[in-house]
Amino acid sequence: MNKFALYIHIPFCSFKCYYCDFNSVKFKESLVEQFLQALQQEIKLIANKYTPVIRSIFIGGGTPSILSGKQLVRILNQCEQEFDCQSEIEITVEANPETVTAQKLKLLKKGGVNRLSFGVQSFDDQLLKKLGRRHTVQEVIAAFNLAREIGFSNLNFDLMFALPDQSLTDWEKTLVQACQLGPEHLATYNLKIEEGTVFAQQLQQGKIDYCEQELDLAMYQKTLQLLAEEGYQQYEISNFARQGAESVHNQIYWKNEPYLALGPGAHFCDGWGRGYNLAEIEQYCQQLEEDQLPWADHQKLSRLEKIEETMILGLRLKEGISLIEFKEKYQTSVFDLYQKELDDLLVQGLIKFKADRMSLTEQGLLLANQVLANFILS
Amino acid sequence: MGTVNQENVRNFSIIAHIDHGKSTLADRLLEFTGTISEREMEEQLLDTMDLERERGITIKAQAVRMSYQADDGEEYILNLIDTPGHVDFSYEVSRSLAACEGALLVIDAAQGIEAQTLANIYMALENDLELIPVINKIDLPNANPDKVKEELIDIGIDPDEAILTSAIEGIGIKDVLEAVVDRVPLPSGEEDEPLKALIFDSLYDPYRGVISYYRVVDGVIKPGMEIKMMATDTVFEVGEVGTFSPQMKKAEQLSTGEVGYVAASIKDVKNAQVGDTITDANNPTAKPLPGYQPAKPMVFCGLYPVDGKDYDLLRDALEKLQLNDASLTFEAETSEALGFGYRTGFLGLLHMEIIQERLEREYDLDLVTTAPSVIYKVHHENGEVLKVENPANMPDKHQIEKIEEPIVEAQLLLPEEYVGAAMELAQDKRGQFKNMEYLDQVRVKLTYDLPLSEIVLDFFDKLKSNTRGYATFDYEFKGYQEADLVKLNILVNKESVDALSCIVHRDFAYEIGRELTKKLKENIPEQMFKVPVQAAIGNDIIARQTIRAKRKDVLQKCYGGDVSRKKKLLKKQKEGKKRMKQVGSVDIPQEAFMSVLEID
Repeated sequence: MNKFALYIHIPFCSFKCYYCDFNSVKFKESLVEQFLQALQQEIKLIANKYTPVIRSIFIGGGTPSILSGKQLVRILNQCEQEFDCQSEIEITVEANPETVTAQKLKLLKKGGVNRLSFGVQSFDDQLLKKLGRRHTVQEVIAAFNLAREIGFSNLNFDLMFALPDQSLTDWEKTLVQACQLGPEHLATYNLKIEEGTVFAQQLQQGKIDYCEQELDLAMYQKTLQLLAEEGYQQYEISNFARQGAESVHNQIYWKNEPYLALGPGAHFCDGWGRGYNLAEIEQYCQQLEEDQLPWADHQKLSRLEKIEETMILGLRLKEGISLIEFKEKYQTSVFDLYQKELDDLLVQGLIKFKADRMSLTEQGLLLANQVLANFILS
Repeated sequence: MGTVNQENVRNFSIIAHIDHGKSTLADRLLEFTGTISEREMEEQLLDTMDLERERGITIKAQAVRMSYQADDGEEYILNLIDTPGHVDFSYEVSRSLAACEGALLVIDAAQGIEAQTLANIYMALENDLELIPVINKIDLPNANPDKVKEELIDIGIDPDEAILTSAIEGIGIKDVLEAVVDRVPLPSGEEDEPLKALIFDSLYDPYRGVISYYRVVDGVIKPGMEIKMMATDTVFEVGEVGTFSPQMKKAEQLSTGEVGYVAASIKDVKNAQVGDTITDANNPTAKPLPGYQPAKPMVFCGLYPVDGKDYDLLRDALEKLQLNDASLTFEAETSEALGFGYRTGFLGLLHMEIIQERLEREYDLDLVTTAPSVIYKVHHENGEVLKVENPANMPDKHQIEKIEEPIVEAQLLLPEEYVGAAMELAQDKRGQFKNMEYLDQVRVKLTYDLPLSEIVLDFFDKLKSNTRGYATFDYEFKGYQEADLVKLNILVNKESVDALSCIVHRDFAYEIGRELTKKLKENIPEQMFKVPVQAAIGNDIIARQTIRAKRKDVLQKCYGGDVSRKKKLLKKQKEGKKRMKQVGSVDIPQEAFMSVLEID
């Protein structure tokens, strides 16, 4: 009952990328120590509140790898001390290629980290510059090789497409180069220009343009085709993995199972409801100094909200939703809840049923928003 | 309350252009006569509906009775009858004016006389009313009373009779009251004659039934008496009579010259229509008062609930509104595209907008409205003449001998420099030039015969923009005229959508077809498949656009922290879809059904 995934947010970056609207501040050594102490306090408070059994850990950001190996290991050690961590759990750390050193990786490996997620984004130096990334393609390759040397056997690349001025060929080259290195896992996202980012500003000034829908589509289809040829299986809308290398942690999100979250602005879903932490790092620290959980909000989810979230998250997975599990969990069948919607979607060829599972068709995957909107109940 | 001395009664109304200060002046008169204290005074008391206040217009007539101790020492009863302020309601205005002997003509000292006011001035003069010019807002820095006086001379009113006021500042209010006493003729009429009362408004009260506002022309009306409505020949027993102070105040009787209300358990406003004559059922007058016209809608549109389940709610709402508004008509109709709804008739475009807005606001209905249409007279080859008020019902073109359309005589008042622009517009809208007249050195009155169908689309908006807002415009129905009209069918995804079809002049059919399909392409969002939008006359396709298919719509990134945000997006998407009407397999948003109004 008290099994949770655990997300830890490291809110520091050396530089904010032009597309990024995540919660992060400029890295400052003086702030880091204060943050780490607050985080330690939060771990204790959360342990007291939930006495959780931890199923996976994901340290994200921000740029977690901007911290030293020692600092990261310290966080993990505290987790192990305070929480009941299942054995052999997946522990992921996000890393930016330019921050990776042999010493850091060795420490992490020793500290229990068994999965690294590299923010690669592109194998095109010019595009990397346009994104505001601080690394080169060479640094990506070096970081990857280093991780392999040190013995990491579960690596992910985050890649971005539908970038300003990116051609289909550009994207194909990035995919091909990624596959040549051969990480176990790939996550590919199309660029979405978010409010408040440098890109949003550039868009408004007419310096960059949206990617045409047709090109975006072509890139996505190229991704599906090429990665399948290279032996990666798509298991979620944007995620691909070698057999057995699917991310445990992220699947917990999509299966709508509970997860706890630490760090400024981090979101959690504890089975009762959803909540998130104070985003301002000073406020976050202050709250913890006063021995209070730094929650900005925590709201109960109604049964219907839980159901709709199970649908809109679960259908992102290629395998979709188990009808039996759904019925067991909610004491009602999807057919009772969504009869008309399901009829329409079936006729339109956007969903399919196979054995006990309901999932999106290939067409449904491309138009997932149109499909998922049908399952909103609240 | 005892009997009233007819000699001490004065009935008057106020004629003014929107914004010239009619309501404020009325408020001051009420205050000055102590009819209502300043404390009770809600700004602009006479306009009671929210919508009326927002739009600054009066939709229903209102009446109020004031007592005034004049300088001659006598106590007078002054009945102020407020009139609706828009061309759509000109008949209601004419009946209100017919209930009076005089009118205050309120003119903004800075703006001068405006076209709409002119129409009402003529109407007042036709009704033989004594006009008292009131030049208001003299406190404004750009007030120019002398210029207004010149304009008065132009329309044949003695400028020396004008009273200068500032209703806002309370200047000249007493002068106005004295002028009403001195100059407005006392009501004629014989108390001993059989009852004759003119209804100038009726409204529905859920507890007492219809309440009619009237002016007693001859005789007396009192509770217990049996009265007859002469237009419908229906008889009712009077439950209560009274006056307005401005709340309703019971009276023992109302006699010749007085203005008041009657409640007689009348269930339907149709039995107490504006302009009808009330008489004594047991001692009826021989002839009703002149001028009664049954309410006659001129503009029609289809009203459909977005959610089919709201059909009954829509009917209830229309019924309730109709209780207060005999000119609103509705009839069930079905559209292949929109399902069940009502073909609804209105006096004019403003009336239509007001009703739509009230339905959406007061009754919380989500509606799809089809483009407004007029009544066409279609001569069928079998000799029948059909009245077609819904383009979807137009017979097959091979069966039509000829089509006639309603024509109005339109008067445009505008500064000289915009004459060219206005004439061009009128010509574009198939107008027939009738006359051009200089009202003074700079102002011109243009008279055109125009097809009503062109006016109900966007004539007024265009006129305003072509003349930078300087032109004003008024029209009245003239008659029917043959025209070379065709039905333009609109096909969405190869299916004819009846609710989008319209009737247009053959010469403009191609252009309108082209523009309309373009607008529809803009107004209909991408669907999951390619959707052709075509315009056709009969089976001939004359224009085509293609709405491209939505090929990709997916939130690529969604992890723990994104859930609430992404859900919000999906929710919005769902809400948007709910407000659309599914026609065949295509989702069409409400606005798209009005696309024809957006054509330049």
